[in-house]
Amino acid sequence: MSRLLYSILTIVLSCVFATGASAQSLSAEQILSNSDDVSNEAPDLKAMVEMVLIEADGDQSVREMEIYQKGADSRMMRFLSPAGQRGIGFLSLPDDVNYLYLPAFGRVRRIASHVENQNFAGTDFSYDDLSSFRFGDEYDPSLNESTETHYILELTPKSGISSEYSKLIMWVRLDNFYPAKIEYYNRSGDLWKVLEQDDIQQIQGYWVSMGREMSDVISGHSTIMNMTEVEVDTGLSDDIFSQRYLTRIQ
Amino acid sequence: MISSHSDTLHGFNRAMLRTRSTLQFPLRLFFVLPAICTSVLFAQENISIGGYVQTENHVAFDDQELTWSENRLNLKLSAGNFMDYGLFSEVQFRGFGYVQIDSVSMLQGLEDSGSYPGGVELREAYLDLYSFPFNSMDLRLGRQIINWGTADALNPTSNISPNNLEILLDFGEHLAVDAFQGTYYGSRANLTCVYVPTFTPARLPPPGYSSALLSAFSSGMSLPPGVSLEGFTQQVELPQRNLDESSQYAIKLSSFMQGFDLSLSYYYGRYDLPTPCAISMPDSVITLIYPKVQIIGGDFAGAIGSVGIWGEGAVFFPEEVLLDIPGLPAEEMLKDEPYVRFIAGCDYTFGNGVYVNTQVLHGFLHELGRKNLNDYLTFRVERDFLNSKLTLVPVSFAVSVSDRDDPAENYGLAYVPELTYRPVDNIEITFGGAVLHGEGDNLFKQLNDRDEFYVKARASF
Repeated sequence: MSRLLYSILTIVLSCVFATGASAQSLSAEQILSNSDDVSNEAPDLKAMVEMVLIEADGDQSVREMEIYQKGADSRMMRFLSPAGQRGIGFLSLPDDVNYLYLPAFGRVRRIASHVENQNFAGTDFSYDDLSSFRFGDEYDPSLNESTETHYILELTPKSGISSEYSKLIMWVRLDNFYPAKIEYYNRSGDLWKVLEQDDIQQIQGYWVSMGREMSDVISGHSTIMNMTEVEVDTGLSDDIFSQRYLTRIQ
Repeated sequence: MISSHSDTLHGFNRAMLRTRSTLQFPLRLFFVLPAICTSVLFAQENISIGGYVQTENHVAFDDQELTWSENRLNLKLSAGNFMDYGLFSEVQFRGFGYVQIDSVSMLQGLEDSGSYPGGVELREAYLDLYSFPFNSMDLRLGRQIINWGTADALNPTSNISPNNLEILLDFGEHLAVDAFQGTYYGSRANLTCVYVPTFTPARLPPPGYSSALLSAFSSGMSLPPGVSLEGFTQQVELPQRNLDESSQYAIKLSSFMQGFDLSLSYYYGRYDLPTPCAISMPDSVITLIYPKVQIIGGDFAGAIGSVGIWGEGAVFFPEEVLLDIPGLPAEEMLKDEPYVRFIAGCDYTFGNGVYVNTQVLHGFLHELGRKNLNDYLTFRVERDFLNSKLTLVPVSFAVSVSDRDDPAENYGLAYVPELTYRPVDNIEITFGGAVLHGEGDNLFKQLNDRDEFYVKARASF
């Protein structure tokens, strides 16, 4: 019995120390890389998205859209409501190639990357915030702190990268490396926006945040984004991420 | 500015009747397809019905004349399954301006639509067949608006759908055409073919504005001594109602290379604005026709750094138009010599949200023939406030120079600021104005006394 207890104790302690050693030994770059991997792990994703825009005085309005995503840098979004925006589509492709479809004009328009730092359709998410990209490609990380549940990274834009943010503080979950919270600081160094990613679920083996909230702490405006009808790894064709599909009626 | 206009339903029906007598069965089937669309639409479970109610009023500064007053109910129906097919139909009910009554008998027949101007318009009605007849092909059949080109609003390569100029400064609006459009999607390029069997002319603005557009064609007219065009009746002659005379067709090859969207296009058809071809002296009638034209175009869009850039150009090959004047040698109104119209522009959004857009243009959409082409510059500054509830366009102007040798006496300027407020979702109120000034012979000079302000309110549902 005592031998059994001794064996169990040895295994538990080994695991604890091994985990601790692993946490200690991971560099900020490795943590961010793992986080990017987890965030972009699903080969493709299709979902319905509800965005609730909350004014500083509490007034709310709702946007609904469908979203298709493949890999880390192909995404298509189409508005379903409100009525005045129904049918508007946005296609984001690799190498900063973006297209906007406005049904009233019946034409797809090429959009240069200058829009990426602008708010998307009145929400608190910028085009850049909504695009699926790897933080490691654009930011240099440093590890500020490790808590019992999170790694806390500080990200600063890499040299040559144009960003509206002077730095980001990112809380990366210890258990699955999913980024649970990000603070965005403006060029003056003041806290500007806070992103909180809740309801992080594993769908078909891939971690997905079903609910997230972006708060503009300067204006008091915030946007809650909820995903439903999430489907991952369904083998979405590359063809969907094209102007051809952007204009299709659904 | 976004608005939507089209031919009247009556006009559409007339077009249907015209074509019925001359077209063969496959083409008849093609025209009937929009009607089939409508019936199929009601068999769908995923029908989407929406639209908007809009009121738009323009008032002249000088005499407070209501130059445009329109109330509109727009209805859109759509259905589709994204992978196989889509159906779209848009109808609008419009009522215009003042009651037109000049006799007691008209007061006694108030149901007379002529007294209360308005109408029903079928703006678009088409059927999309995706991956048909094979995987790399999409078809669009029926009444549709076809917009080509990469520039903002003023596109030399967009010649299939005629211009809708009923609100003159709302450039970029087009009318629908009854068309067959097929696009083949290749691995490196896409090929689009369009066939339009019937001719649809551009819609012109109210009389005071139309003269500004048409003056470009008539500026070179030589008249017999002592004869002036005042009091002449203008008579428009449409192409004959057969496929040889009324058809248009176009092809576009588009691709993506080195980060740029590129396309080449060819168009065969007619100008959508009329040109004088004959003057009849005894009855004081000027006859105008729609000359044939072939157009080869090209465009690109992309970015240099984070600045968006685009360009578009077209070579026009018009047919010759001679003006017959009794007792005088024929006057050449439109030479059969090629000429080029082009536009180039760029845009950028600054970190503070200020959006800037500028374009340079050689040849406006109403300028036909090499001798009539002028140069223009447009510049627009725009910024959203209150999370896009408020959009302010404090600077939006166009400058034109009609004679580079003497620009001080040959220039035009249009200043069109605008403010749009969206108090709640689906409600949009726009206030704007237009200040027009010019010297010499140019579009804005012709509109000198047409300064105006306008209010437009739209509720979408």
